Amino acid sequence: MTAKALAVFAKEALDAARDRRSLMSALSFALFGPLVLAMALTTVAKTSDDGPLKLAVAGAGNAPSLIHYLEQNGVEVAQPPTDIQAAVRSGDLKLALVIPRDYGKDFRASRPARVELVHDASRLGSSAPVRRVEKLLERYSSQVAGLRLSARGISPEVVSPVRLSEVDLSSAASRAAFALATFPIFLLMAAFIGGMNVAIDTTAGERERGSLETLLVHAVPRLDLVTGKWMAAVLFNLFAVLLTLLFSFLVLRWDRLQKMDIPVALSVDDALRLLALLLPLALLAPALQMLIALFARSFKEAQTQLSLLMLLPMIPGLLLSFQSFEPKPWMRAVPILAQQVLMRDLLYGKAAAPAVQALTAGATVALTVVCIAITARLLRHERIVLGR
Amino acid sequence: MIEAQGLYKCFGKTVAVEDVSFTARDGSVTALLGPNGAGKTTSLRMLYGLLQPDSGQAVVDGTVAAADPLAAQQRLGVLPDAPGLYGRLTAREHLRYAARLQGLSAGEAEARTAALIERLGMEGIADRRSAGFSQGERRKIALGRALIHDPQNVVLDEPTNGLDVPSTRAMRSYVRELADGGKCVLFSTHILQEVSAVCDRVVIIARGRVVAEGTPEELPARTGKTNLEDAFVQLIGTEEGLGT
Repeated sequence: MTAKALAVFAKEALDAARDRRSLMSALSFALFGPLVLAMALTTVAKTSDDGPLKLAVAGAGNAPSLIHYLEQNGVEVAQPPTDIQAAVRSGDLKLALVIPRDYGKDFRASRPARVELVHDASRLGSSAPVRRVEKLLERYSSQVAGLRLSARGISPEVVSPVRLSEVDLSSAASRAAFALATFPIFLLMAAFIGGMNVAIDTTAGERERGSLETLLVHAVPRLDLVTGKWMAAVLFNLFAVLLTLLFSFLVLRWDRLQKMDIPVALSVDDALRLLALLLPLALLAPALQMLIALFARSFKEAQTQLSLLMLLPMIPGLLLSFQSFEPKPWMRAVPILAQQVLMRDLLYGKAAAPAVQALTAGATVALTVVCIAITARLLRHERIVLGR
Repeated sequence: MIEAQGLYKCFGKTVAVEDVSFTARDGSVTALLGPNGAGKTTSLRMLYGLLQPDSGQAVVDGTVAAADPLAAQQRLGVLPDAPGLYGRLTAREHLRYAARLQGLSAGEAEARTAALIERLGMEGIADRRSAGFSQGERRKIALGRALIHDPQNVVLDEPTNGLDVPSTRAMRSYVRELADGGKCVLFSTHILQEVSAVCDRVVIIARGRVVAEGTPEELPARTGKTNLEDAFVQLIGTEEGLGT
């Protein structure tokens, strides 16, 4: 690192720190990503079927043994409102169980005893609790049926020719990864957005304002200029990545999520591993952006192009998170793509081997160096310098 | 000393500079005089290494600019066409940055910056951000930046363009002072009074060619005219002067 490159870095960092636009773009995203993550996780938590379920029951006194069964199976029986149908229709109540007065009479006479489950199927989030109550009622029903058959000397097994038992192989860690599907994308975007404004401002912006010519008449090697500018953009990038990771970490350790019983707590170790994956990316993104911005005619044009280009690397990430898309081995060597695969692996509880991580980081850093070298070369071209 | 030797430059099919040769000597002020679009800025840009000549060469104190641009730039102070300031930096920060870019140590940079702020009368604006500065204030910062490493050669592209009368007079006196101190000063202009006021030598350039070279006194005599303006109009060709 030469003294001249450091001088460029110091100037650009100071200039950018005084630029509200640069600061805001780094900061706002760091807050926005984890916020969306928190919202996504709360939604997942609400639809999960663990934990106590509140159920309004009308006529609970008509079926004491059924109520006892429900209570044993994690249902909190609550008092129903006076007009159940209206309450469900307005959304104040998700579902209610109505036990008619003649339930007991039918039950004792071994006739099918009717109960009503009142709900609104068009309402979001009502299907999970409805399914849960239905299952409990079915189980209660077959339990009673078994007892009645035994009392008549028939084995209950005779009436169950097929028994279905589900084996859910998803581990706690893999369910967490599903809930965290969008997390790597936010981290990736932080590494691309944090320093973008600085990368554009120091290249396309510098030329647009007419200060590039002045800068180039100083006796400074082009490589020093580009390195200094790149370091300033990297500084902002790291700032954004660290903040995003920190806020995400706090969100995932948030009490409310812990109580909701989704196993998503991000350990300090995993957070550090994520950071290690993101670091080379935080180096690459500004180098790539500066190179592209040099071809743009103005700051605005560069901004438009880069915002669009940023979406490109997100596509594999989206595929990875929303589909069961098995990454091929070569993907772990392609910068940007590799980080997404490895981040996903990490969140699935499968940390990559050190050799793979080194390969990914090496490829990314190598690409960064190439970008910087090309940018420095480009600054010798008259067309690029004068923007024609 | 700055030497232009048969500079030729074209952009696509447009020939911007066809044949420019001249010498600017130490201890004197040389003016590159010509109408708008004559190729002054392009010629200067080749001298300070921003453009590569298609043929010919620019030599600064014996160094060919194209062969060793950094060595040539080290010996040059340049005030380009556009001042190119950073709105969020103060005048002092601009000078300090230029000093570091030219390779001065932190201590030297601080000393030179303070000296130039005093010499150019920038004490009042030294620690204010440059956004909103007047033309004259901007030009002072740009000049301070060009002189920060005490270069032997100073190239100024239309240094008084857009300045009011007091600022113009101040700029001329700085230019004169530099040459009297033994520096080689080369500046471009299209203003004749400026030439008479401060120049030792004039290089007249029109349509990308040097059409005459001499002292402000010699040129009228050579063309049989009584004043520089008539001589200038004759040398560049009347049509050219009025047409553009």
